[in-house]
Amino acid sequence: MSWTQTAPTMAAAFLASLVECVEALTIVLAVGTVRGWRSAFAGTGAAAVALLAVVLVLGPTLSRIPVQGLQLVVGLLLLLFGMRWLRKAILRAAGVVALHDEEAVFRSEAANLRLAAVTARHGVDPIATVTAFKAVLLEGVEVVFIVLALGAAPGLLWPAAAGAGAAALLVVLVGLIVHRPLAQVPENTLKFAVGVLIAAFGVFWTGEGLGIAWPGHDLAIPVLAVLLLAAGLAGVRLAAAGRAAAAAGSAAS
Amino acid sequence: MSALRTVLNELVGLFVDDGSLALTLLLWTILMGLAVALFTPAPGVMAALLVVGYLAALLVNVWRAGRP
Repeated sequence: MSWTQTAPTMAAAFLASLVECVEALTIVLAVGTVRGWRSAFAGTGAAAVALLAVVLVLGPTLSRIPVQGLQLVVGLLLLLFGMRWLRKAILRAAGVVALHDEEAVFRSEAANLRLAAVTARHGVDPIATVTAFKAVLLEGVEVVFIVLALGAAPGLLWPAAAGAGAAALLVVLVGLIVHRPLAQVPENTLKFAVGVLIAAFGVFWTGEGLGIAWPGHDLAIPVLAVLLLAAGLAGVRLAAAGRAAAAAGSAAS
Repeated sequence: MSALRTVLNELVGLFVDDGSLALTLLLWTILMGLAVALFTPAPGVMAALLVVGYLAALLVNVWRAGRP
């Protein structure tokens, strides 16, 4: 497996997982702060085990599926996933949609947890545990999809898993030190970059699955990323211009 | 049943935020698949068309989203 596929795979898995882990950390921090760390860690641990089991079962299974069919299906899923992230990042950058606010999510979740009745047994609060479990599981499903999809090509599962693992470890370490939602992380910039990378892989693999020959083969991936980045930046201007025109139109009427 | 529906909604939500963009991307993919099967263009032409179609779908979608 060449570095032209390994490096982008690790980078995409790392960045995408970083975003998801930051979002999961916010909820886990809220649970731990309001309802106790034993419950937060219990829920997180249970979700991590469930996600690991999914990767260990599905990862090797994917390698048994015929390559061209797998490339088309995985390519389409990566394309839809990446374009979804890129579209949202464009609209957030253009001011059409509000930026994601980790501090606000933390305050909201903490407030909800304070309202719920405490029913701890053996030091573990079921509501808190389930809240942490659900948050880590939901965000983790996206990480698992990214690892499995990017790692579906022969030899890429471990680089993708390593990228995701490194991101999770980094977020956990920073979270343990800082003990606050990582609101300073430039989330929309990260989502923009992840959308570009994942969509680039998606376009490449969809093309491979359709039998399209990419000039330069693997080297087409970074070229696709540059084209998607350019389109994304143009999209921010288009969306902002559209929003300004709509605002001017309503002000006039 | 509602838990299953929630899980399915979450799974679909991983890939589809705006239905029209997802549909456009899928339709363009199908069209390109048919084109590859029916024609034998110069190398790179189909790749370029695939990319241009996807980028156009994205740009039109965000432009329309900015003008509700």
